[in-house]
Amino acid sequence: MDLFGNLHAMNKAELKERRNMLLTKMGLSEDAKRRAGKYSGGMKRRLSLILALISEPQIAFLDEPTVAMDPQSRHAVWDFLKELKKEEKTIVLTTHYMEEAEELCDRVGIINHGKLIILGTPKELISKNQVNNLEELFLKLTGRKIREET
Amino acid sequence: MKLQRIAALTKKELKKTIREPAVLFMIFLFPIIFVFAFGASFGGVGGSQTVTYHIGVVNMDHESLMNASQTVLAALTDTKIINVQVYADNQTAQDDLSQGNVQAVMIIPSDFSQSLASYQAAPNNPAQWTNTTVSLYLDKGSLVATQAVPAIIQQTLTAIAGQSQQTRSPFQVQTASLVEVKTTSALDFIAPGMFTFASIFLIMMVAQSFTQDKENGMMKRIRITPTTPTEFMTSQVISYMSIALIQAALVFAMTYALGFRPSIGISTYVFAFTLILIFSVSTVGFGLITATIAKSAGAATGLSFLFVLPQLFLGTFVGASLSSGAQVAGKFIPSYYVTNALTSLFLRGTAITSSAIMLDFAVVSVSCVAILVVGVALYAKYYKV
Repeated sequence: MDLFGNLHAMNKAELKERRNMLLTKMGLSEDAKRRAGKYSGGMKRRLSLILALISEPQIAFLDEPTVAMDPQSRHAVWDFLKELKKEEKTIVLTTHYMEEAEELCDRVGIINHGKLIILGTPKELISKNQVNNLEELFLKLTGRKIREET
Repeated sequence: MKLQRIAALTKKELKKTIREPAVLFMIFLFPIIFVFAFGASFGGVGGSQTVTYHIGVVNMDHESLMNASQTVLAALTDTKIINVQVYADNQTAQDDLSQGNVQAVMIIPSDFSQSLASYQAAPNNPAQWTNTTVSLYLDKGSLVATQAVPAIIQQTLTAIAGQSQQTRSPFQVQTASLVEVKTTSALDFIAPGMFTFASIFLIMMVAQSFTQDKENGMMKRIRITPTTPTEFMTSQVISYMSIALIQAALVFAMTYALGFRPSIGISTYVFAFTLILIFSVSTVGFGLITATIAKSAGAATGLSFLFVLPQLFLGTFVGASLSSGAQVAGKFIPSYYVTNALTSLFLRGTAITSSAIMLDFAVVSVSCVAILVVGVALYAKYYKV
């Protein structure tokens, strides 16, 4: 955290404050002194998020930020991302969890085979396509055939 | 260029080194253990390196009637193991001695012929002899010179006087450089190479570090920060120069503990450590070249030996025992010049301002910077820094 704060040329006081705040929000305060290599997968994801956000960027690109997280961790991350939204920060996130997209996103785009096939607010997409939620919409648009990730 | 970023990256690199027991072992413990094992095993032992000794001769004896000095030169040449080079003055001969071009300088005094004549006129009456002294300056950087050359000279002088070895002689051989009499052990001869030896293994560490950073995504993360390539590379060079400095200090402490006591001043020590620091720049360059080729940290370890072994065998203390062809090959690698300069500084007492040291320094500086530039260019081309 200190390394990335310094790489963003943050001043010492600002970095300390931001680091402590992020550690608290991500539930890592008690483990701050432990080596990251010993963290669980979920803790590493949360730490990864902290590193991405340590410099308080105006726009953040988050690639599946809650993958492999337990429900508590996932909700902690969601709460934090909602706070960032309130601060009018722009967040572009990719996810395979449709409930996550529904919970967090103002606008959702579904990409199938590298093409953007639909884009809109969750409410618009659900009502226009007459489905109950984004999960149903996703399956409706992309089919139920299991795909191997490459 | 922001110092804050360079300092942060340097700290990160040093912390990474400290936290890896295997790396710590290779960088610090291995050279110390090696020096200890080698020094303790062979520290008091001599050795043979060559069968031809290059000796400079300054002939002050210009006696026209009986030029005994010419007889001495002919006798030395006849031994087949002495290669005589005649100098017009002592200064030029001393310069060549300090640069390692000759292994000894013999000064034939002006009264040498007269002395021989006095002996031959009254071989059994020492009171009638004109005693004289043949001065001999030895290369302290050569084990064979200090051990073999005085004996050969003495034997030759005895022979031309037509004496048996047991009788007295009007010729005294005084080894001038042994004014400060010193027994030189094998440790003294290998110690300069030990410093180079330790630094060479940094190539492996640099290569591993870069490939690990690629593998675990650290490099990608750094790339998305405002860090510039210059800041990143500067931090790497500083990190490994610092490690090289600590290594050199530890190797020196160990060799000192084993009895290595070069008779040099502080400025020479500073110069020697500076030379090692500059050499460490090349290890970053070679490490980067290795990291460019290697796909994983494991592969980097193996590939780094492509650079480690030639530097090790051709450029450290090992080089002195190699064939003449291998010794010529050594002249194409930087470690050779580092060891050569350290040998001159530590053992021959050569001044840091001498042309030989300056040449070594220039070759090391230019080649190491060139290797770093090549390493950075290759790494930047294939893996954006």
